[in-house]
Amino acid sequence: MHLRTSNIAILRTGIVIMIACILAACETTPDVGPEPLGGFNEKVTTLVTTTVRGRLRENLPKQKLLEAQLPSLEKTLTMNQLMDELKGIDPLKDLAYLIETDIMFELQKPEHHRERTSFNNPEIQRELVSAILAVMKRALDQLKGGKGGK
Amino acid sequence: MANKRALVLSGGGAKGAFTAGVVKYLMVELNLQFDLVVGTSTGALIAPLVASQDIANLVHFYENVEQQDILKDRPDLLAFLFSDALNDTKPLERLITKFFGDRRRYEKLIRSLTEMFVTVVNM
Repeated sequence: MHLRTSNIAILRTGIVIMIACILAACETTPDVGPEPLGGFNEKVTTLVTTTVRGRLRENLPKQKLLEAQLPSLEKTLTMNQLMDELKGIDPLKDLAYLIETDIMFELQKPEHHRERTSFNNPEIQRELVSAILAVMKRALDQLKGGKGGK
Repeated sequence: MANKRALVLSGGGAKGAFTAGVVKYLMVELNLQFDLVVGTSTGALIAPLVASQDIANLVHFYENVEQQDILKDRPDLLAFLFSDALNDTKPLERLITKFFGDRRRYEKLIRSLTEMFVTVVNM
């Protein structure tokens, strides 16, 4: 009788451990974390965001200058116009050259062949200008909010 | 023998964000190319993105990744008894698959002219 009771106890413990093991094995991790960037504009704007933050970090006069110039920059329709406008503002000239470098870095890659061949298309130019201006604003906001490191 | 340029990337978890900034400066601003890239730990995550010149994704990765995307606690007793570690690195495994498991990205890495070596502990 005593032997039978202890056998049942062992069996119960075994079942509990088995259920626990099955639950642990079935445990799923929610899909978290960033998605990789794929598109040309996404990649360029990521590079430009860090460039703007890096150049203007701890430089409040330049941040204010860029912010003040944004309405006039928004009137530009092509990258050439935008860059010419930016290069015309002496303290922001280096930023303009670095943004051009970011764009060229992505543009020369084989996977961006399509963007390269149609780079002068007015629609593509307008999209890129508007994306660059949006990330400039975002970078300035991040700097105000303390993001971007010291 | 011609001179070759190598980039050695250290480990250090979140400090990889600093490395990402330096790599962006070297490769985008200075336009440096590397013949060999070696990385350990967080540097091992950076190395394939350097070899495939995917600096935008490198910056994006370190700007947006959070601790819960890398590991999660195993606070329960069962996990403590039956697992080999107190933290679960499944999220990191999924993140690596997301960033490097894609066939096109993998093929780009294989075709890269940059040789790559990484050292990691068993996940």
